Amino acid sequence: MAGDVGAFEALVRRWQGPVTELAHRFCRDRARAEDLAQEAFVKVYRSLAQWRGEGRFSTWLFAVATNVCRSRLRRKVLPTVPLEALGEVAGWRLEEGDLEERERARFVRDAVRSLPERYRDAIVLFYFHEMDLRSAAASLGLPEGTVKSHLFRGRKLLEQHLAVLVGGEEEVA
Amino acid sequence: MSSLDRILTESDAPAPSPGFVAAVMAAVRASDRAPAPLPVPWAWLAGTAAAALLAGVSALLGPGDALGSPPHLDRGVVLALGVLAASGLFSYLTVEWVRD
Repeated sequence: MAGDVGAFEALVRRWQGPVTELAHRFCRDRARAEDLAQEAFVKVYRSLAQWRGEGRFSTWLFAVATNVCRSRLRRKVLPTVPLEALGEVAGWRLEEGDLEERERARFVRDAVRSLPERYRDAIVLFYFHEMDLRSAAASLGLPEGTVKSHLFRGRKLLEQHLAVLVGGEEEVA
Repeated sequence: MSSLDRILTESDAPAPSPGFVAAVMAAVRASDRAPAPLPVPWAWLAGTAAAALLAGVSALLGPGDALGSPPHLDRGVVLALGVLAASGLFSYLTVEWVRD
């Protein structure tokens, strides 16, 4: 497929949704997510000749997209609210009784961005892959054990600071 | 499934804009027309670094000048190799930075 622009367009159509969703989980901003997804597709196109066809194409595609998102976010720090502050605000809003279910979910997803990078990445990939640890590890290029440990610590932090929104601690994966 | 799992598994990502595929394909075609990236001179860099290292080690471990003898390797050569290695690394990093 390397060099075949027509075939590649079909591939972009097929995977535009998942790749944009992955990028959105990292940056929580639609325009930026599309920029990141576009950059990932261009990178995939330019590297198609290097893809050896081992394993699933989607595994490789998500690994490339993950690398693009991580490296871009590392270079440009997006504004985030500290976890402690998010937890406090969520607590006030709950007491006032004006936190809808959808807003509560948004609070939690925004809080993921405030986590230390390694925990954020593990959580983003684990849930993007519908709680499949192996796929998350493949996308991150890390051993499953490492991802599991990052996931555990990241979830622990979220539960500590957002206990009012997500309830108590539960077993991970 | 805990409430945290439920919230984080669900996606609130909006669907890509209608023009997304066209924008990606325009970028892909533009990348096709762009000149090939400059090859990284790994061999040259490795050779320079090895030479600089060797010179440094020789200068440190070679016969000293306690008896008034000249150092094993002239310190000017060591300095020149160090500058060469540093400039090589700097130019590589600059090219990478500009390319990104």
